[in-house]
Amino acid sequence: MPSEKKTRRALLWLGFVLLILFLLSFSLGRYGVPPRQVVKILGTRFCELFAGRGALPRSWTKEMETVVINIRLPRIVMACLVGCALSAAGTAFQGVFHNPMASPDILGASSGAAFGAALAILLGASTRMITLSAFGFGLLTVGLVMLVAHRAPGARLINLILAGIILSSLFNAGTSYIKLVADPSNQLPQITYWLMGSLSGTRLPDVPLAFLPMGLGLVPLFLLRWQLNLLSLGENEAKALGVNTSRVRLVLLLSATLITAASVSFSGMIGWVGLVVPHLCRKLLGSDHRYLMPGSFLCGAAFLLLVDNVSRNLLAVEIPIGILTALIGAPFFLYLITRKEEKL
Amino acid sequence: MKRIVTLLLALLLAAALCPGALAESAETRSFTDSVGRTVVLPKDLEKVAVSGPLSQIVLFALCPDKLVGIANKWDETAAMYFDAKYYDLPVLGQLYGGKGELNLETLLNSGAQAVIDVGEPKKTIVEDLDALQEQTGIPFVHVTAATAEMGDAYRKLGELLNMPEEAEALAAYCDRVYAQTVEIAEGVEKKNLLYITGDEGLNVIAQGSYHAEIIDLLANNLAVVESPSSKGTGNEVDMEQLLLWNPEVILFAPGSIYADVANRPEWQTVTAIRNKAYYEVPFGPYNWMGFPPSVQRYLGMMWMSQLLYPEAAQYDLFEAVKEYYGLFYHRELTQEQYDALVMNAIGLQPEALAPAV
Repeated sequence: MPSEKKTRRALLWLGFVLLILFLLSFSLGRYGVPPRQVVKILGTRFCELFAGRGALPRSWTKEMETVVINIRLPRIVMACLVGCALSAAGTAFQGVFHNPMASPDILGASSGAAFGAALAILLGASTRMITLSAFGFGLLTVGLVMLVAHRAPGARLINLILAGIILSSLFNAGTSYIKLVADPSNQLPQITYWLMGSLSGTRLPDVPLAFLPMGLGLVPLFLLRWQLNLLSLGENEAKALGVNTSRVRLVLLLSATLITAASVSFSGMIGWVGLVVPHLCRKLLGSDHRYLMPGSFLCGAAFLLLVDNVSRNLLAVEIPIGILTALIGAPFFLYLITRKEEKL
Repeated sequence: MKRIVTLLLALLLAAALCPGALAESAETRSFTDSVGRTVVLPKDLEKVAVSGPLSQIVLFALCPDKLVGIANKWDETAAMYFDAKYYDLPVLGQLYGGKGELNLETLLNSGAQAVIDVGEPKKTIVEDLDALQEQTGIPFVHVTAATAEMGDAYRKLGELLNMPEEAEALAAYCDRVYAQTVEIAEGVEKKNLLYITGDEGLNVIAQGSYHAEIIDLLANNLAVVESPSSKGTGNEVDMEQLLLWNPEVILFAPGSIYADVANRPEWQTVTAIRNKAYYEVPFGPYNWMGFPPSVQRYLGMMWMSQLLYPEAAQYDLFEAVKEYYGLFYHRELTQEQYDALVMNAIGLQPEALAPAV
């Protein structure tokens, strides 16, 4: 395991990479905006927000401002949020279940959210209602899973996983049925598109809405990272060290669920991030959750931001990001696990 | 503290007022679309984008030279009927509700002055279009079009695009064909018919479904089921049900079992098959019966009227189809192309072995 000092430095580097990527992303896009104009537009907006008036005379066109502020800004922030949330949830689930295969959809939050979204689309609901319905059903599913696991006798963790699998497949069946009866000329493609995951519909007002549930989930995950370390030692050891295991576990699971449901309801199903990024971080930072958790916040955000940049820039027609995360994530992961250990 | 709050409030107010500043001026005009949204457009719309395949077909007929791109790639057969410069229009992608493959920056890059959505309005249309318009700064316009009111849709589009004469030509064609079809349908005893799809020939387009509009208008659609599917592939049925319905005439969708049905023993007792009263719907560049359900349904109406009721439908189908291709696809249809289109669609008369006219 890398020494503490090195780990800290790696964490700083991650933050730096994310920052650079974040700033760089604003000048990437199909609509050509010169980087200098991007800086000016953002700078002026920033000044307007804090000082009350623009810093520079407008030397850019209205279209440029629209592109940077209305199209790129919300997408870039949302990509960071969703990436951060998914990988944090993945780290939490992997820690709680002592299982490297755990991913954010293990308790059925994604399947439930997908069902909720498909149902809302079938009923002709508005974009906002689709998001709300997805979020609600995501939480409902995990609630049911916890209820079932609570009532079943035997090992709690195994019960949770089993109940998650069972309810996921139930909701998946529901989603399939909705796809069968949906109108193929516009509802079905909308559902299919939603299931593939995409950040293309992100609008400026979505961003503050997403911040709320994600903040509510991310803060406890950050604060409880030391307890997560103890939990991953094993139930008895943690108890012996004075941790109220069931309460801590409940808070961790609820927080992870909250952010998973929130990110799925805003961006659709984006696989891989929650599974791969925690592993990547473990390679970089070791398995101490005190560093691993913030590391996966940063790394997840950077990874999804990178992939979304490819998604919106590679072709004239958008490529759904859920497809790309797998296409980019899988080979990268393969390289990572086959690579010989070397100095960091 | 108070000053900061005041400042913030003032800022908010300024932000809220900003979009409202866009008003009619010398270079712009306002237009109210079919769902009551009023948008400000440039006086002369020279470049427009489409929201999906339906808009694409409808607008291609009216203003092919104003399209900055198309939503979906044309069907390959379109290469035969379209001018190369139209066939090769760049593909911009489609919108599904709020999300979509339509990259908003590509849209802005294309220079489109407006995005036009044609078709049946979705429940959330006003909200969806308002949001897209706010995000991109490009006006989004919806024009409602149903089969019976295609003429009015074209007139509305003519107003939108400042092309009243071109639009009127298309509108008049639609109105004339529709009126003529309704007149024929009202004057005849309707034939018992099934429209069959699917590669096993076990799907029917049921009465009352959106896709059955012209079938229900022109024939007695035997396929009455409990819940008509809104899918283009229709409802699945079994062979026994087909035998029970025992239609006088069968229309097979392109790609169904038209070519093969003579060799299937279980079909031989069906009246339509026994009397050789079965046909394949023409295809090119789209299915004439309407997948997607758009203007090409007018071709289907003319073809079906004459196929089923030749006494009532006294017109030259070739001329009528040629007129359509000229008006809507901007290319002259040759006799060879026409013959290939209707090869399996009008039946070879046993005595003449020539297309029935």
